[in-house]
Order: sequence, then structure tokens, then C-alpha cells
Amino acid sequence: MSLSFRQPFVVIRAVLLAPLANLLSTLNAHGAVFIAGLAALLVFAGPLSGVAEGSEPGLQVMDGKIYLPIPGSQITAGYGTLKNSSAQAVEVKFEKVEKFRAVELHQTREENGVARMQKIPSIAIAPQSEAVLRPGGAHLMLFTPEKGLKAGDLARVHATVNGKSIILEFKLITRD
Amino acid sequence: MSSLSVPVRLFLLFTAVLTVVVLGSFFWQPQVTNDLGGDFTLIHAGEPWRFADHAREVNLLYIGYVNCPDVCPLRMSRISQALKSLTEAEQNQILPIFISVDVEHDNPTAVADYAHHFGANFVGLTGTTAEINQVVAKFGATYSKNLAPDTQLGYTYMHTDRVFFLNQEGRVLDSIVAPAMGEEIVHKLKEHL
Repeated sequence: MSLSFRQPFVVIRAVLLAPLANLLSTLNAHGAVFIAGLAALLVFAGPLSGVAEGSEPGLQVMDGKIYLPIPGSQITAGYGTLKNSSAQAVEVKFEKVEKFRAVELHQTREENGVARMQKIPSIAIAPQSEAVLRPGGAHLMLFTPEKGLKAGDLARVHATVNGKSIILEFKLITRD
Repeated sequence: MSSLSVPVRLFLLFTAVLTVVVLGSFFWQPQVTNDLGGDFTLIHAGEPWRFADHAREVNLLYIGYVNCPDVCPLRMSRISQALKSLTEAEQNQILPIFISVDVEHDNPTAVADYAHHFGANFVGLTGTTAEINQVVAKFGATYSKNLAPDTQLGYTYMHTDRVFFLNQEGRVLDSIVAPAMGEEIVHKLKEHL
């Protein structure tokens, strides 16, 4: 998924650097090897050096956390700040999560001292803005965890940003 | 009386009305508050549990359900945090109670385990639908189940989001709607301890 997102940049870098390497090889064989090596480094290093795991260009999750389910329950919630650093509005949908059977986006509303919760399809984030998944507001609802999960484990949440797949990492923590 | 002039009669009438209003304001508010609550019996870990047999100086009550992922654990955490900030002697004067309204899914063991997660002295209760309805109404709370076929859970409950402060008879001393911070609960507790 990361590779497919960066594919255009990889192709552009290869197209720009290959003719340069050919040109230099006519002057100096060692120089050609150096340039070809540099080109290869740029091509293959791209996916490794771009953005840390748990984020994608344009959307990052900060302080992403999922509470381990409380004994007696197989359901829990996840929170964090989704930061859209791109220049366009994005719509984020949550598709699935590793280590749990399913994930949904829900919204809690408080009216006249009564709490009610409902599923929402997506969350919209304006350009250069952020959306907070917080207790008592929009949040991830997660169902049926794998056995043996412990605090500190990472859960990879598969989402889409304007239709493009991404993975966001949330840390499992104990609810105190 | 018939010999009294009209201004004097009006003055006496005004004084009488004022007296009724003043005395009424004195007694009306506490009476309304104390109308809520009272003793009740539900199920704890499979056994009958009567409030009067376990009540402490101040008792905290929250009504929710175990599969509530967001609001219920948040409030229970706030209660837990509030208690941890008190002295051991103060903590021993307080009983935290969680009542689940999800009779269909929350068995007594699950509710007890759920409440116990927030503290060794937390009590988790459930009962039959009739018993739960009676207790919920007693505290002026409300709940209703809403089907949500587009979700994995298939349902959700709307419910009163309020922490009740009860005296030893189970009467409502005070309450806080949706306390966001443990400090709010601590403040109220210290008023009533």
C-alpha cells in the first residue's frame, strides 16, 4: 500500500536520473557506477525514509490509543488525533483492524443528561486541520479482541483517506 | 375582621402569601431531592444484593451497560480516579455501584467483573427487566434500547449519564451530569462525607 502511493515519485526519480547516469558513463566508468548507485538508493530508499509507520503523507494519527477491553466485555474504544497536513479536505473511513474482529466509527451525543451513541460512516477533516477522536465524541468502536493482547501492543487500523488505503497505528493501553 | 380597613386587609394578605412562599422555598427543594432513590435489591454475581445491607456514608451510583465502549467506562474511570485521590479512611466511607440495564447480554458475573475492574470495592449489579426498570425509575433515570442493525453489536442503549450520590438510605443527596473530571466527583464527595 505504501509502495503504490509512492509509485509516481519513484518512477519520476528513475526517469530523471537514468539519462544522467548514461551521460556520465561516457566520461568515467567509476562515475557511472556511483550515479547508478545513487539512483538505486533514491529509488529504493523512498518507501523506507518517507513517513514513519502509522501514518501516510497527508494524514497522521497522534496519540492513537485503544483501551484493552474491560473484563466482562468484548467491546472497547479507540481515540487519538487525526491530523490532515495536506492542502485538501479528506474523508476518512475505517475498514478493519488487526487484532480485533471489526472496527466502526461511532459518535456519542449528550442531550439533557442522556448519552446516546450511533454509528457514523466517516469523518471529514478540513485542509491543514485535525479531528479528535475523544471520549464522549467521535471514537472508534472495536469488537472481539484476539486472545492474549496486552498493553503496549500495536493495533494496525486499516482506513481509507479519500478512497486511498492507509494504515494507522494505535497503541493498546489499560483503562485505569 | 370586618372592621379592618382595606389597606390593612391587603397588608395581612400580602404577609400571609409571603410567609407561605418563604416557608415553601425552605422545604420544597430538599423534599424533591429526597423523593428520589431509596432502598433496592438487585443481583450481584448471582446472589441477591440489598442496598441497605451494604450502604456506606456516601454511595455513588452509575447506570449504564457493559458493552458501552465510550461513556460508561469513562465515568467509571472518573469515579475510580476520584476515590484514589481520597484517604483510605475516606474511601472506606464510600461505596461505588454500577447497575447494568442490558439484562439481555450482561450476566451477573460479567457485570460484577466489569465493576471490579475499576476498584476492589466497586459493586456491579443487574437483575430482571422489571427489577431494573423499578430501580432506574426510583432514581429518576431513564434508558432505552435502540436496534442498530448496521453495527456489529446490533443495538445500542441510550441512558442517563449521571453520577448519583446516595445517603445510607439510598436517597439522592446530589448528582453530577456527565462528570468529565474526577475532581468534580471529589468536590461533591467532600461536601457529603
